[in-house]
Parts: sequence; structure tokens; C-alpha cells
Amino acid sequence: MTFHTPVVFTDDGAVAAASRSRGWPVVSRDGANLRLTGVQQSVPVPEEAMRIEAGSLTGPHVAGWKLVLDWLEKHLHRPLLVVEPNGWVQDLALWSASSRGWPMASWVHGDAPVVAAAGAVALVASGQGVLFLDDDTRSRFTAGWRSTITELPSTPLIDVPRPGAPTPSSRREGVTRVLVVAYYAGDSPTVGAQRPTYWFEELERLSGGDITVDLATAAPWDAAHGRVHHVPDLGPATLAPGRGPIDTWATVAFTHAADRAYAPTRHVGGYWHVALERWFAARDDHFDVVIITGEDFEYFGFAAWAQNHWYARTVVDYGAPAELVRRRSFPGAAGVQAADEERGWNMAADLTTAPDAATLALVERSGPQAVLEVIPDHRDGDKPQATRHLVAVIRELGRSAHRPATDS
Amino acid sequence: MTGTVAPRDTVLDVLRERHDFVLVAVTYPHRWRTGSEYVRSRADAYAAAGLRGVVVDYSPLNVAEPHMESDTTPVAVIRPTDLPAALEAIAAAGSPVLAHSPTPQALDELHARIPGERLAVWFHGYEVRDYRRLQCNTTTEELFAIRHIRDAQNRDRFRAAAPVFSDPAVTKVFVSDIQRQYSEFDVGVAATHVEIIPNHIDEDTYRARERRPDEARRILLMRGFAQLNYANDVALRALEICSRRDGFGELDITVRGYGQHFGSEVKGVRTFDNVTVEEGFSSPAQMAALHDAHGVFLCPTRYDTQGVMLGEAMASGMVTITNPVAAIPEFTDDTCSLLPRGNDPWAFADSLWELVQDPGRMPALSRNAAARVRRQCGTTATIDREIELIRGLTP
Repeated sequence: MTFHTPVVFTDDGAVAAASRSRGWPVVSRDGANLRLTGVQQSVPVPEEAMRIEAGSLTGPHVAGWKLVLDWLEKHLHRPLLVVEPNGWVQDLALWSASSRGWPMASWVHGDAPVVAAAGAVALVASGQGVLFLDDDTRSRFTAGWRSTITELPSTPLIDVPRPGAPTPSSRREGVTRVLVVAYYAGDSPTVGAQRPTYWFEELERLSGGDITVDLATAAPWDAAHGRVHHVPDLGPATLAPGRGPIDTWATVAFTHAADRAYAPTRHVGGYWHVALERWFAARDDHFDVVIITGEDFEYFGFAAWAQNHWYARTVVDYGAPAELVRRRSFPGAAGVQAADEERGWNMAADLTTAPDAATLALVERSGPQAVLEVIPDHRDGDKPQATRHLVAVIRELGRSAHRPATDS
Repeated sequence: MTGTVAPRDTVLDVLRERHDFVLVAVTYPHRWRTGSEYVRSRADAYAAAGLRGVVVDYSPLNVAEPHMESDTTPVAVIRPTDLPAALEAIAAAGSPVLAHSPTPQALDELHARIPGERLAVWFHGYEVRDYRRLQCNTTTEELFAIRHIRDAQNRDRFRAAAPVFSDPAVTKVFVSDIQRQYSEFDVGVAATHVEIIPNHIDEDTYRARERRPDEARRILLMRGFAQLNYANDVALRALEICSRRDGFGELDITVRGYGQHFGSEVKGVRTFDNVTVEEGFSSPAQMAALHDAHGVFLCPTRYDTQGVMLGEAMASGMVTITNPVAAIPEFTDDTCSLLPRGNDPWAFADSLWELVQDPGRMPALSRNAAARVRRQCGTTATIDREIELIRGLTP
């Protein structure tokens, strides 16, 4: 058991009261200072809001934000920051996770916020849970959320189990090791999550045993069985793994993304491929085929890394037709840049797929030799045939073949 | 090359003369600078065929006043800012212009100042290729830091190439048809008036010798290690896989090359007694000698617009193991090479082992390879066609 102390950042009286009733300390703004429940020492508010992409970890404010975390570490037993999605210290929670490995969580009160921005989604999806003050807020928020919401327990300390991970998968003759990558999976009701969930749950069985499947997902899936890699998304803090200023390359990345009409990093999962790389670089896995799919597309660049790292065949799957249609309606330069980004992801795909011909027609071709194919959804039409087709595709991709030479 | 400095006016005077060809290149080999030897070899070949020409080198590294340097073909060394005046002088003289890998700015100037009927542009690869096709060469962190630069390069290159592609008066030369297809895709415009002329493989330097079956055990990996698209890692991992098979110790393997990835990539094979690892640049003569000392050439690749090193090894009569990706299938097939699928060390290892266990096919593969290179990339198929092209540019 690893107990952590929830510490709630809020200036909202109701949230503060609910927190104190659970025995959780509260950090609130008092003019230019931050005050922590039961602690005499205060620290200055470094700036109006922490925004990593806007330079909070490059300029003179870095020391101030670091002081806030040091202050919490000094006075609390294993802090767990609880902050408001889209709020002024949202990125501080993300940074506490990336730089110090602290768990994080969120609180929601009043009008349920629209959690669509990349950082807010990362906070909720990869956090330990959500504090709701009333049932109305809870039901409104969960109705609009794409995955399971875990409610924070009301105990003074919260047990955060050490994250588990499957044992490394090694290469085996005659077996095709598949990794399915999807930001959401499991109980999520969205099309883009159900497709990988079905593949994860059924492919191995339907193949007769010559295909094994691992799943990498950003949102925790409590009911998951077997080989699930929970790789948290920490949004922009992914590029800030240290306790001090971020590296220059990250600053450059933030600056130029801000100048673009469309930047993947402004969308859900836009930094997640970096987290995936780090997760798997630290392990000793082997995968023959990597399928990247889901409701959001911005981590599809992971295909290039998978090709290099595992010599894997890669499938980039646009399994969420509505999302592709939505992207095609991006106006002006944003639409052009989004399509160009997709083309780049697809350049690292051995196979680009979609669930139906209409969606496939919207997929950006990556070149004159691009291979595009429909992989029907298990919910449409002939389910066994759709599955057999996918099994055949994976077997073909996974076959480590060479063409024998012929004398002539 | 012997340096002979002349005043700026002399450079323009030279360019104002009518030449059989003026070869314009963004970089050209000098005593102090290597690279683009394939451009110089063309100039030498044209001179050997009796054409009288001049080379214009407008490298951004040129900072001195414009001057002439003597070589087999004289070289006008100018700064990029001198290029418009130089092109005006060339245009006035009516000389045919052969531009190799022009920068976007140079392409704009060439298209604006040289009549299309007298202009041929060689696209060798990177000038009209989306950088993301070689994603293997860049880490995610590097790409975060430089992608705005790379994106701008894409835009500049494709913007400059588009009007040239669509101008039927200008001759466009690609080294392979798949390079043309990818270039058209990336630029977004179909290229008109196209010639597909591969780079010349020098049959005199790489003389064919039919390989015997027993030479299947003498294996050479000789590639640049500067970029990962050369895929040396695939061949080296394949050797590690083979090292666990009976009989591996009887092989005699040489790994030679240089570049930033050399040390890390060869680490896994350094411990094998039967693998000789040599770090260094190889001249054509050294390459030919290494070819002659081995039977099998490992030539993995993730992307090649032609595969000149593959062709040189084939010309020497080596039996090659390569990957059927990008332009490679245009330059070899399974009667000449073993072709395991790309980016797959296990498939590459199986191909090598197949050859080791069945060396009887070495002579036929060797003969076929040498014959194919001579047919497809020999003087007749390359230099002679280029000379014919140059004559067609002459009014």
C-alpha cells in the first residue's frame, strides 16, 4: 500500500469545505500568496496561471513553481494534487506527475466544465479520480466523458497502488505478437474505443493461439484482464520530465506549435506518443505488428517509432469515422495542416485502414505505393468474417518472409 | 583540381562564351571538400566524349570572390548571390544548362532566366522528397526541435519545383521511375517532359568477376553509417541472429563504413572472432578491392532512389542481399539478388543463411547481376543518353 495525501487547490468555498470534511488539506490564494491548511509558511503565487506551453517552465517563474511543489513536499506526506480541469494549476498537477511521479486527480463543481482541451483530458483520463460535490454534476460530467470515471474515495489518505505492467513479451517463432494502441479502451462507449477493445479481447482467442495481443491505453481500465499497459498521458508536462526549466528543444516545440493553425499537441493525445516511446523504451518487449487506433488520432506518429524500435509492421487505423469527418471540416489552413499531419503519420504505416469504404476515401494517401484497406468493424455485418479478415491481415503482416532466389 | 584564380569579370567572360554544356551544381568536389562525386564523374564523362563545357559551383560555402578553377572541365566557383548574373551570362550565350539538385532559390532563377528548351534539371532525391519519408533518421525529440525548419524546407522545395514540373519545355531527369512517382506525389504536380536515367555505374572500376560457391562464406557489409535509412542495423542484427546458428563461425565477415551511428551499430558484432570491423571512408579503388575479396554483399535499405552502392557491388559480380523497397525493384530482382522484405532482420538472416547453405546458386546470381547492371546502368544506358539529351538542348 502506498498512501498519498490529497491536497486540493481551490478558491471555491464549497470545494474547500468538502475537502476539509474529508481531512484533505487545501491550498488557496490569499492575495499574492498561497496558503496551505494548517501550515504557517506561505509561498508566493508564481504567476496568474501555470501554462507550460506558454512558457511557465522556461522563464523566471520556474523557480516559483518549483518552490510550490517543494513546499508541499516539505509539509505533506506524499502529495496528490487535486485540481480543476482547465484551472489555473492544472499544468502544475501534470508537472508534479512528470517531474516527481506524484499521482494527480481533479475536482469538478457547479457547471460541469467542457473537458476537451488536451491538458484537461490528460488530467482526467490519467488521474486517480474525480471529486464531485453533488450528483447532478457527477451525472452531467460522466455523460459527456468518453471513459470510466473513478470517484476519489473520501478517506484522508488515498491508497495509490504501484502501477502494474505486463511481463515483457519476447519474440517467438510461429507466434505473431500484436500491440494495439488506443487512448481509450474498455468501458468507453465511443466507436473508436470499442474497436480496439474488441480486438484486444477477442483476437487472441479467434486466432487459435498464434496471435497474442497487448493493449496500451492512457485511461485506466480497472476491469481489464491480462496484458494492458497503462501509459499515462501527462499532456504538455510530458516534455517537462525534470524539476527545473524545460529543455530548449521543448521550448522550440511549444513556440512553433503555437504559431500553427493546427498543431497535434493542442489535441487530445498530442504528446502521448512521447509517453508511449518512453514506456516501451524502458522495457524489453517484442511486437511483430503494432496497430494504432482510437477515437483521437494525434498519437498516430508512434508508428514511426514502432517500426524503428521493434522492426514491427504498423497499421494506422482510422477507426472513428466521425472524427475523420470532423477533421475534414477544419477551416482553411487548419484543415490543410491536419491533412498534411495525417499524411506524415501514414508514411510510417505499412497498412492504413478504416472500418468502411466511405471513411477510407477520406484517409490521406501517403504516397504512390500506399496500401489502404477496409477492416470492417465487428459491430457491422458479418462479425466472424470481419474478424477472420483481420486475423489474416495480421498473420500476413507478421510473417517474417524473404523471397527465395531463383537461378535463371 | 588545381586552383587558378581569375577576376570576377573573367568568370562572367567565360560564361558568356558558348559551351557544349554548363553544369550548375550546388556542391562540387574540390580538394578540400568531398561529396557529389557523381556530378563530377558526369562532367568528366562528357569531356571524355569530346564535349567542351564548364561547371558552375554555387555552394553556400563559397565566400571568396568568383573565380575559375581548372579541372578536367573548368569550374566557376561563385557565391549563391552571384548566380543570377552568372545565369544571365549563360543565357545570353545560349549554352545548354544542366542543373543538379538545385536549391529552391536556384531553381527559381534557372526557370526565370534560362529558356526551358535549353534547361535540364536532375532531381537526385532529397530536393523533391517529403522529409517524413525518412522518419527513421530523426528522433521524436529532434523532430520537435526542428520540424518547423523541415516543414519550411518542404514548402520551399515543392513550391519551386511545381512550376518546373509542369513546364513542358524543361527537361526533368530522375534516376528511377519510383523516384519520379514519389516526387510528383510530394510536389503535388505531375512532371512533364521526363527522362529516367539512372546514375552511371562505372564498369571499369567495378569489373565483373563471377563468384564461386565457396565465396558465399566471405561476406561484406560496406555502407555509410551517417543515416539510419541505410538500414545497416538490419544487417547487423541479422548477423547476430545468424551467430546462434551452427556454422556461423565458418563465415568470414567484414563490416566497413563510417558515420555517426557506426560505433553504436557495430557494437553487437565486434565480439565475434570472424567479424572484422573497420571504420573509415572507402575510395572507389578500395571499394573495388573489397568487392573482389568477398562473395556476398549485404545491402539493406529503408529507402533508396536507385541504390548506387548496390549497383557497384552487382557490377563487381557480388551476390547481393537487399530489400525490395523504394526504387530497388527497378534495379534488381530475384534472379540477381536475394530480396528479404524490408526492416526485418529475421528475414534478412534467413536469406543470408539460405545462401550459405545453398551456395551453388552463387555463380548464376553473380552473372545475372553483373549483366543487369551493365545493361541498365552502363555507359550506353546512362552517359550516352545524357549526351544525347544535351545535344537535344542545343539549338
